[in-house]
Amino acid sequence: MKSKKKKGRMDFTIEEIIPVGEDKNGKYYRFRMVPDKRSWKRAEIGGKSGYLNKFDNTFIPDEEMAKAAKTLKGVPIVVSTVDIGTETEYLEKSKKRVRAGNE
Amino acid sequence: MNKGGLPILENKQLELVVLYADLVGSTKSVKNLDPNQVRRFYTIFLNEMTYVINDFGGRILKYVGDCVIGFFGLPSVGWIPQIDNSVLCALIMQKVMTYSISPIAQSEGLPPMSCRIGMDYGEVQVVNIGVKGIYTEVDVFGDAMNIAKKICDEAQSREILIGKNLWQLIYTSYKMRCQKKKSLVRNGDSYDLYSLS
Repeated sequence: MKSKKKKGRMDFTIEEIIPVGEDKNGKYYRFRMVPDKRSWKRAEIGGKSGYLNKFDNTFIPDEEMAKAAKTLKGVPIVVSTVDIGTETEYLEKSKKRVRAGNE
Repeated sequence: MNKGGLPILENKQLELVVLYADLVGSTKSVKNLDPNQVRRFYTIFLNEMTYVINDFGGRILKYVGDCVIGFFGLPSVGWIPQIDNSVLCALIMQKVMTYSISPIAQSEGLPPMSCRIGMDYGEVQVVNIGVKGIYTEVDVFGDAMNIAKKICDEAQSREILIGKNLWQLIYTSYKMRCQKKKSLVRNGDSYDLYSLS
């Protein structure tokens, strides 16, 4: 039976960004990032050091982090494309629509 | 947009965030309204919620009575931004209810309005159902649909309640705003629900 991969998520904080050059395709940066300290803490489990998730106790040993880090080279950074302005602006926009009959 | 672009995904299995937004106590609220007021009461909610879901990159699956069902997670866009957008969308939907829809409805002589939102993430199947020549439609079936509906039914007025599958994937800042609230029985196991504020 085919085993199903379950999605997981690890948020990071970028601590340092260093420009490393540019070419016709764009600019390149090297950056240092660490797991978000609000979710992850350093821990040692079963003789292995790594990061422990404070919410669901997922443990990721350093060796697994190192393997994963190697796969990140060249991966584009994804950002949300939704642009609604500020919350106040959005609520004003909503009020206008509702008053106009939101048809 | 026809069914949120689903027909091209017919017979595909997808992983989506499913969002149910349900108007609370509407049957009682419309009891003494005239037909024009009843029409305005429902459309003011359903139409504005449709705009909000669309503005956050979600799609409308359908309306069921006074409930709007939306989804986030088309394969062409990365799943992490869509998960974050779905959560932000739900938070804004409740603000829109409180600061836009309900006060404007009351200024027009309609009763106060509030909604409850239930959401979860999981697998669904896009299926073309019906009989050719009589009636057909593309719809979505699956565990995530069923559980999101149950979660919505468990939510209180003005609450956003999310299932564990979605909770595990949301951004840290949102996770810190969640409180474990109750559990459902799902496939014989206990399934945790979190209230997001």
